[in-house]
Amino acid sequence: MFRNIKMVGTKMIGGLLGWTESRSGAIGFVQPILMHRVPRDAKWWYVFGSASLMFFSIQVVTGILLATMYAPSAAEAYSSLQYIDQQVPFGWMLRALHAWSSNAMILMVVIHMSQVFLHASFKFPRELMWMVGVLLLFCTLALAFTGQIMRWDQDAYWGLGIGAAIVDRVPMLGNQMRNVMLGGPYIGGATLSRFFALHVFVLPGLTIALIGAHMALILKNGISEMPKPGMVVDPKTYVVEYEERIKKNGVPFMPDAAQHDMVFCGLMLIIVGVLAAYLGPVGPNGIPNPTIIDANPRPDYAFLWIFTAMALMPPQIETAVLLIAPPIVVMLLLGLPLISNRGERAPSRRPGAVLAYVLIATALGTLTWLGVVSAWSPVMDAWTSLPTPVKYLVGRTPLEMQGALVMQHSQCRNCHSLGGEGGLRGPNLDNVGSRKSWDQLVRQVQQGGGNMPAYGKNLSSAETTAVVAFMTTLRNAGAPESTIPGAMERQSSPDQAPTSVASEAGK
Amino acid sequence: MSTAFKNIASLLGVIVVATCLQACGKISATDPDDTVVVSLPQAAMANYAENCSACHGANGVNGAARQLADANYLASVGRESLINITTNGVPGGFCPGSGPASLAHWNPKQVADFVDGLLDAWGKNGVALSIPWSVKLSPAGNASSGQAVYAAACQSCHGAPNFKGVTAAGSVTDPNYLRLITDQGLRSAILFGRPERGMPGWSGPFPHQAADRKLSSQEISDVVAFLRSTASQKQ
Ligand code: HEC
Ligand code: HEC
Ligand code: HEC
Repeated sequence: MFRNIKMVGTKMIGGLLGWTESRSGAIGFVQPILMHRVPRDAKWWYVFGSASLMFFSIQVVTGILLATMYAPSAAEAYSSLQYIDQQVPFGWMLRALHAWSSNAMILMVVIHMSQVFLHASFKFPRELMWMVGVLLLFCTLALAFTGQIMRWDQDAYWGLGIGAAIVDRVPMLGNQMRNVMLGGPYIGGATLSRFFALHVFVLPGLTIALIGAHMALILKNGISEMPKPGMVVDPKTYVVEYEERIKKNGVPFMPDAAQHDMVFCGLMLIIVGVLAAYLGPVGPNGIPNPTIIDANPRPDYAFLWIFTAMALMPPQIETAVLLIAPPIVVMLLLGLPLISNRGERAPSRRPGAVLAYVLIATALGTLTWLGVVSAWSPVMDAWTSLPTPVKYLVGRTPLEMQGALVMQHSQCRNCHSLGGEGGLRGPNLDNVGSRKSWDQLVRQVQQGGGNMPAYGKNLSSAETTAVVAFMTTLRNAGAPESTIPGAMERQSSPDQAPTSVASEAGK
Repeated sequence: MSTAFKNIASLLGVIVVATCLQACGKISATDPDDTVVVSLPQAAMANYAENCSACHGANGVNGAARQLADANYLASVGRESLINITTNGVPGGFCPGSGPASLAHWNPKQVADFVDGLLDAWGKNGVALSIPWSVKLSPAGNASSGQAVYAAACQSCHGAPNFKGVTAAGSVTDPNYLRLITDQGLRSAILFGRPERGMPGWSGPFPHQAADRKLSSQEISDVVAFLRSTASQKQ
């Protein structure tokens, strides 16, 4: 009786599978993927790619759930995040998982890439796999960057401001590119819609397509073996030899190699789950308004090194480096397997590559670390605790005095020092009046540049005029020694303000 | 061998001594006696330096915003209004006080302690003015009477209304300036002057006027109304 039911059950499942298989070919499709033979020694070294994929899947699932509750408009984004955190049951955990698994994914991708580089797995015939992988790295970073914008908070605002300032430097096209990126000259509602579309449609779609290509290439070319010194790659003979070795020594992916993947992924999942539960969601950190800085604005970890590099670079070469370095880095990364696709794979026989890796890793690590502890990150309490130097107030008009107050109140001094006190993120402003004209100062304040946020509409035209009027009085040589009352030799009349300031900022 | 041993021993010695010193330092810092000894004004001064000095000046003078170390000023404003401003800042002005926009976020007790410390340090023997400090308690102003007051009492230093050239004390009819300062800010400036900058208070001396001539509460309201009207005329 019982046996009968079991038999019928097995029969039914078998029938269902057969029915589906004959119409879809799904099993025929999946089986070679699961059973393809991989080198026997492919053990723990090869788990990072799978872990990246797992974290991406988590991103997709949590991301879809978040997208059902998130309001991608400048007015509501912030409060919808707070709603998810506070009202939706376990909404905070959803956000936390999305954020922490994104960090974990970047980490896994970077480790995976390091392993492939150090083992020279990108050599013949896996050049294309490497290139697709590099594109996947960029997609991952782009997802992280656009994701950080979704928080629509301080950090997002500053991240965008710096991004826009970089784009702005492209000769000729800079302004248009910035407008395309931000949906207008300033960061606003249109900016968020744009980045939302990128983050939930364009980039995930692209990533999934590229992951598909990456997998197909794995099936086509097989997984590389552990490198052995003396075992050189020769495109003429490699494929035949590899296939022979795999036939002899290889094991099916399922279950032999997959075991390691599963154990590792499980472990990572637990770690990220615990991290998410303990540390909670990331941000949102304060509403985006550069005149109210309550948190220490910095980009997410993956981009911290860029931020530090920009802070350290002398301003004269910044533009050149910003425009020239990225294309070179991209070309080098993509072109790596074309530069060297044969020969030794073992790290012990490739000292140059290992050295290059160590140098790059150290540089990125150091820059990131400096970004965390840096003295050039803003001094957050400067605006209320560092008095405007008295000598810069002597003989100033009431408007210029208000400008000095705007400079304190808008927290310029968190990044800029006066009289040797204040932040070191931007240049000191002691002598800025003799370096820059009225128009240049207005542009700097409204549009930012370098690591400086664009204040744009966050300062009224009166505030902009006042702070610029104050800055024009900051000249080492010309600090007027007059004492009031009596001698006010110099009074910059408000008419010096180009009318465009008032009309632009008043819009 | 023995020198190495000696080196290690002396290193250990240094570490032990340093730890002791550090521990002693820690103990004395948390010593209840110590925390009690810190007087209120001192704590208030530290809070002032951290949260107010940037604009109101180190030690309460010579800042870009008005001087607070002025006994008569503090007496005229009074404890209650000081607590109110310190709690909320100046709405419409650049003053965050210890309110949400500031980094201080004081609770009511901290604010009260701070204001008492301030009054203790800078408010001794202050005499309140006979006319009200607050805009809310002062009579409504009349711009056309204010024009006459301005011409008589202010023009010699601040120039004719909307005059663009160089004047001794800079324009106070500049529309951008007027958009940044509140009525209370204007009234306080005229009432108490900016003594550290040479701006006389309500009792003068104003040029071309008798030395004992003081502005009345009404005249001050009028002149503020007049200043406001110059800005709107321009637009
Ligand atoms: C987050 C930090 C930050 C804040 C806040 C900030 N700045 Fe800057 N600022 C910078 C940096 C960084 C630069 C250098 C930009 C570059 O390299 O082009 C800069 C450059 C400038 C310059 C050009 C100086 C020169 O000599 O080239 C001026 C003027 C200026 N800032 C004014 C202001 C004013 C006014 C404010 C407040 C309204 C302000 N900044 C707020 C970071 C900041
Ligand atoms: C003896 C010359 C003198 C006279 C008379 C004078 N002032 Fe002033 N006033 C000054 C000086 C000096 C300053 C300080 C300017 C500065 O430091 O920016 C000043 C500042 C001001 C300010 C700006 C205060 C602030 O904190 O922004 C206002 C408002 C003002 N005066 C209004 C008036 C009015 C109204 C009158 C007439 C009742 C008047 N002043 C008469 C010299 C004078
Ligand atoms: C960012 C600069 C800034 C800081 C910091 C600041 N203030 Fe002010 N404060 C101002 C300005 C500007 C005004 C005048 C506002 C107006 O009336 O337009 C003012 C006005 C005041 C007034 C009223 C003056 C009057 O009679 O009109 C008091 C009292 C005061 N502040 C106290 C404080 C205290 C206490 C703190 C510290 C907890 C503080 N302020 C911090 C800028 C500042």
